[in-house]
Amino acid sequence: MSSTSTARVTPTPARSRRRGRRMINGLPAPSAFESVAKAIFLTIVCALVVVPFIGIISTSLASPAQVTKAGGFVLLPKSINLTAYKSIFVGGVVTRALWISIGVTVVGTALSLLLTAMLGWALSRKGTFGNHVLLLLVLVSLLFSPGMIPSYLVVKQFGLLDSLLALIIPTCVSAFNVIVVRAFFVGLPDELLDSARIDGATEWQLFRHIGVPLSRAVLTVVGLFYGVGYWNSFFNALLYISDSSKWPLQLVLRTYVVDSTQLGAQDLGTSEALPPQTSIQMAILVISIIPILVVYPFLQRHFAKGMLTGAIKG
Amino acid sequence: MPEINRRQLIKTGLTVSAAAVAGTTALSACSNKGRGGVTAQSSTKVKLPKFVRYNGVKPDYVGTNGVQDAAIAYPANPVKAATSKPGDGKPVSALVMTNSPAPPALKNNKYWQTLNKRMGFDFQIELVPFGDWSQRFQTAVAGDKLPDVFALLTGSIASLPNLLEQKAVDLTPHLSGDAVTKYPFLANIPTESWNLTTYGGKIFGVPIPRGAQSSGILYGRQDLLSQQGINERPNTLADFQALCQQLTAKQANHWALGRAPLGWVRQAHGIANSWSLQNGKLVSALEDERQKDALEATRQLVAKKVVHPDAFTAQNSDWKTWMANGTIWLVDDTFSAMPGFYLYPSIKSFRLLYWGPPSVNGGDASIWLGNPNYSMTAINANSADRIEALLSVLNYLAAPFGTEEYRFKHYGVEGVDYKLKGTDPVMTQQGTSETQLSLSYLAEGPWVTYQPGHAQATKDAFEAQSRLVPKGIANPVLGLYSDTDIRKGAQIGLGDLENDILQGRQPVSKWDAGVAEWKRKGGDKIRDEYQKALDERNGK
Repeated sequence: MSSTSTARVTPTPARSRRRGRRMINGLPAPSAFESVAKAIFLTIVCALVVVPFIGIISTSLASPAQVTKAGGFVLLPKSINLTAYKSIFVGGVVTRALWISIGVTVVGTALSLLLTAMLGWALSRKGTFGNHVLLLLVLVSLLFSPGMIPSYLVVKQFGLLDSLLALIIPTCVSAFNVIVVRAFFVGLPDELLDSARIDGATEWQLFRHIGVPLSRAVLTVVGLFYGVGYWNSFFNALLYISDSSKWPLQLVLRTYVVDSTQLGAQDLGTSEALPPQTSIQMAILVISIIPILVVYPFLQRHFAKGMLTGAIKG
Repeated sequence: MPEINRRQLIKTGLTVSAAAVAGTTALSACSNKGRGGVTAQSSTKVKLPKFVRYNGVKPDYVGTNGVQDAAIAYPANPVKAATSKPGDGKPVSALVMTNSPAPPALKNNKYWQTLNKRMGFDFQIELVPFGDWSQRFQTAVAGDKLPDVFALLTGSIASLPNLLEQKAVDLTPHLSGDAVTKYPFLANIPTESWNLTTYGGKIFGVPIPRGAQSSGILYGRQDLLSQQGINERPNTLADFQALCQQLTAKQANHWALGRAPLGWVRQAHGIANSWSLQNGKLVSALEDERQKDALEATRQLVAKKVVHPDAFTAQNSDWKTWMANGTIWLVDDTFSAMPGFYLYPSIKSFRLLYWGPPSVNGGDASIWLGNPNYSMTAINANSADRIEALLSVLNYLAAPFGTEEYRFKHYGVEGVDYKLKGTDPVMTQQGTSETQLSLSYLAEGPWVTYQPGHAQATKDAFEAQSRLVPKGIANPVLGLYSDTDIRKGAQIGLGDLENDILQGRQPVSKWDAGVAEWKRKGGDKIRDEYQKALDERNGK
């Protein structure tokens, strides 16, 4: 304690050297050298993140000749060429799949949020009937996966094959997200809820008028998890949807990126080629990430707060 | 000793859940019955379908001894080969893999609508991306949801004979010997392809023939090499290595080779195609003493930096792009890769050359012949009462190159999906999208080399096949079945060790230990199973 007191009274030599500096938020402003070094470092880090994105967009827009000459990756296109995008959207398959994905994502996320919030609320209320058993069941599903074929047989027996509901219902509630939401609800002060009860609020009104409004941040984050999950999901569609006209976007795009062997001249009946495979793949990346990039900034402000909920409470 | 490729990856994926594939019974009874050691040797005591060549179309180049026919242009007035509509008028369902972008749905697909109209029934086709085939197929089997006809990657399904016995129709009475003549386009499929569709003495499927297309050679940029005065392949492997060094200019980003051509160098050393017969006994090519020489020779190519630096991580399209833009001069691939090289219209002078391997001591070495089939198509046992109708559908889809049926199947509706340029059909953008129904993976006639607009390319490919294929070496176990090979072959293979040696992470001397481990982990058992199957086939 004494040494600490001494340090408070007697400034260290380092601190005394900085005494003349401008202060920012109570801290001394960095020197010019430090500022330049930081700027260079951050520029490099940003470039490492941004340049690949620019490359993806540029390659998708470059002419086939430029892509071929560059060996597959173009940083700055000489001219804007939309051939890759046109070849993807021809026939309307991708457009249709896009709408299916949007529908599945919106409906699925809404349903998932509703069920997760309700389950999380129920599990957070002490003394609820079957609380512990239900919680145990949720945790078991977190630890043990049912496996591909049993899942398929269950979906089949429910008559969901070839139905878009098969893309939502089997993954509707994530145990991880339930635990996160439950952790938030557990932290709500009992006094708040008790005072509402004194005013005559029912359990549903507690959930609807207190629980949900206060959990906006955590529900936003969980919603983002669900939304991204539904948006990126392709495997359930592969297993459960036989009719390719009901395929979501990611499964359609997968046929371009993962498996597609470019049609040869023998298939095309011509020496005029399709756009290079790399251009098509890059165009598909752009198409698939744009919706998430558009939505994310609106949710970002909730993100850190919501994440902390799950991180520090169990 | 095939290198790691797409089919091997599928193979690994399929065998992991082999129990599921063995049938739904595996789910209800955890028994090992039928999981291995089944006696299901192909071709045993079965009369294969008689080969009756279809003579309605005359190709420009007629191939013999395994060489495939070639055509400079599509016939001006294609013969209408089918005499009646296939099927029985009832809907037909199919499950088939695709490696093309998904086509438009039926109501938006003029090609599909016309196909249904021409055939007189509703053709319900379920497409599965190639990379996900194993999972989808497993669930279809486990859920008893196999359609009327379904594709099978025969070299990758464990307990395949059991699966076929339970789920597929025995086609022997309908196709064996002269019976196949009822289906003239199926009779036009070479016998060697049928040889791979028989299990336990029964014909269980219709092959998708590829012939010599799956055999590998070394491609080169003939137009660029001739500018350097290089018109002939070096006479020895040592000369070839020297040429590679001469062609490489690291500063200019020019590399002699697109990837390390280990298979090609093995052929140069005279190593057998996977297995060899010595005094009637099968011996794995992995045990060949010359393997180390081949590995060392290929390792040196990598060490001397004449192979593109991204060779070990590149995709198929990368190699073709590098060839097109002149980054590399040579790359090994199969004959089937040729059309993909001609996708780069900006290079008018582009011309490929085809080099077989030079013998270590000078002269020509023989190439290895690939699998003559891509896959096969089976008919669901639940649809046995419609077997003749379904065979007639497969027969219709196997109409050979040059017929009107083939032109429709591959290019669609004239004026909608394709236009004619001379006599060659030229796909419209709509056509490239609509026609991707993977019908060629359900039934197909013999492959014909055809490169529209590139007469010289067609001629070059045909001449290369004529030079190399007749002397090619076949894999003696093709058409035989080893359950251990299916289940464990890909897992215990030495591909990783090969890569480690080629990239200098392991010395060549590690090879012997690797082979010993391979033998111990299942290699010997694989050999024994193949040997037993071979002996039974030979009537011993």
